[in-house]
Amino acid sequence: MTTAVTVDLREAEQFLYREARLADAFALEEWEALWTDDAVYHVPVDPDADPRTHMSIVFDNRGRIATRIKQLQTGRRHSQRPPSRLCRSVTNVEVLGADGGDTVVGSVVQVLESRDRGTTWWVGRVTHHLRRVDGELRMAAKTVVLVDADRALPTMSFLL
Amino acid sequence: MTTVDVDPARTDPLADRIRSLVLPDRVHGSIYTDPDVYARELERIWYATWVYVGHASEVPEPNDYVRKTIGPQQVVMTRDKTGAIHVLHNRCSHRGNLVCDADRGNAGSFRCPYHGWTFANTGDLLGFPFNQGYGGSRARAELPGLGVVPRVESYRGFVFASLAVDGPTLREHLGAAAERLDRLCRLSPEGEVELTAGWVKHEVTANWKMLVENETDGYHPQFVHSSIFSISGSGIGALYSDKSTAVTRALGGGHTENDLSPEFRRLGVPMGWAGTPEAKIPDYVAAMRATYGSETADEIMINGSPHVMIFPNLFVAEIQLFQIQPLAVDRTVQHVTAIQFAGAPDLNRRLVTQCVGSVGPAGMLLADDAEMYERNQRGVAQRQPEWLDLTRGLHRERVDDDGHTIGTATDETSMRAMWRHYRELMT
Amino acid sequence: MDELGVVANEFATVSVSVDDRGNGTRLRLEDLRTGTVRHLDALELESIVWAPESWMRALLDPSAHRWRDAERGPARESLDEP
Repeated sequence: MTTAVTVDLREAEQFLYREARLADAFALEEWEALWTDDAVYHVPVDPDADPRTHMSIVFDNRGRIATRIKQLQTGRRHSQRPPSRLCRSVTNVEVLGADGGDTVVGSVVQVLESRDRGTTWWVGRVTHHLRRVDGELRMAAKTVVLVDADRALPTMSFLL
Repeated sequence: MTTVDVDPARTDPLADRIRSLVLPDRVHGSIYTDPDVYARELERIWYATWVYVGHASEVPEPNDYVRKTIGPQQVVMTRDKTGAIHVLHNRCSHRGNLVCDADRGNAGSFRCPYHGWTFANTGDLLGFPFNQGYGGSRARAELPGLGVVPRVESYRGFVFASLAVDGPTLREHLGAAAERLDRLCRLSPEGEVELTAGWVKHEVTANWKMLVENETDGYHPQFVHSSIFSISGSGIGALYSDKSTAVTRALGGGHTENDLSPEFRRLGVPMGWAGTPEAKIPDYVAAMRATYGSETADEIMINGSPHVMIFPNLFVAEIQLFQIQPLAVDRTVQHVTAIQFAGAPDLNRRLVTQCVGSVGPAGMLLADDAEMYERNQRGVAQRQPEWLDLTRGLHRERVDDDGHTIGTATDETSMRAMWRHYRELMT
Repeated sequence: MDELGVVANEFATVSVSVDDRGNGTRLRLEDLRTGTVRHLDALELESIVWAPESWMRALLDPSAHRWRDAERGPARESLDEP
């Protein structure tokens, strides 16, 4: 396993901010294009548990990320009808190291979600695995550990 | 002085009201929103009848324990040194502190963090610090231990508890629903289900009965879940149509099911119900044939898993198990886990993946169900037209060979049966 | 001395090791919340294995040992005889 960090902090931050903006705006195709072909999107209940044998809130491979996007695009994903109004901030960005050819970036995300049911504040620690593919930065993995992941959570059908 | 003959039922205005709100063909919106009705539900249903608490596989070893719930009540399910399962109220007998903090663990005894009172995992008080303050160790015999839920019984590893000292046995309570748990367990080559995949907890701003009704409502999938059916090529939608040979069945005792097995038999594909070709789970298929013989194994694998709502809080939906927990008249938590079959590791991994995609706050199915519960809760608070209609399929209901009322896949037979039972319990 | 591991639940945390510094081996138990240590030799361990359940239950009564005397209080917790 090589350990070369190939993405600097500034570039990582710009990527994270862009991803956040696209997700907030439901720019679905652009957001989906940020993923690599072998991507994994994970929102665990217990970050120490093996997601192949234990329940997660989200555990999507690339195919399922595509399905999630397509479901939103049908316009009949009722839990996003109308879409949540979202504004998220990404802070505490750190380059944590490298994993193979990926640069591992840590951050904190805070999302305010407004829906008819009320306003929900989602906060978690995020780990991105960033990789350069054909000169463009992509995410190979994104894990969001919500502060209250093991508690009862309301519906969360936007792109976290 | 005049004496009046008092009919006990007449002195119960809430019972009168409930009788007028729950009718054979409709229910009044306030049945979902009235705090007095909810308070009575706790007393008459949640703290009186058998309620599903947990599964024996969640406490596999002596002295294992897990925190569980009976409605809003916090309980601890323990397995003692001898292997017996107990359900204890999570409340110190001294000052009422919560005794157990961890969701799960292994402990033969529990010590309250407040003043050190110590209890066996059977509930017995073992002692307390500085016992001279109570006149010495003999006081131990006179002071209470942890509250013990009086009746705990299990069926095929499914542990139910009742806060009532007397009442029907669990087997009587389950009635025909027990056979559905048998059907589920037969899908394991070892004949057992294991709930070892952990839980996702999904909270909704809705009354618990919205969830119970929805679980076996075969009318909604084509609408609520059309977004996912239309893109995933899922055959689930077609199971719930007027052309489907599936039936909605009232099993008695408020238990209901969508019996999809006629459709699965018509398709005749082993594991077709799970959307998993045999070739992808060769070890499982081989183990099933080794246990049951080829013919019976194929029959079991074709018939598939039940879709049964065991009143009031256990819902088995083919590959996943839900436990419904009311917290308030308009707040409910749905606990969900992927069902795991003993002796089926290759199948089990697929079930976790499938289940995680479908259920919970971000689930491609359940997020939309939850949206409907919440919209429904807001809707029934509106004043007109007051009533919710329950007549769908009333004219075409019939009785099957086992004496159960059945309707077609999309009929509201299940809701009517649930409400009939509810009315009996509540009045 | 080989630490075998830590036995912990939400109520107690005890480190378990085999102490071989003497002429023979002993089990060393350390209550990590207070640093209090007890050694048990083979015969003591065998006796625990054979002790009746009522004996173990009696041992779990806080007034039986650590919190037996309100006058001494938590500051004087010890393994001394009363």
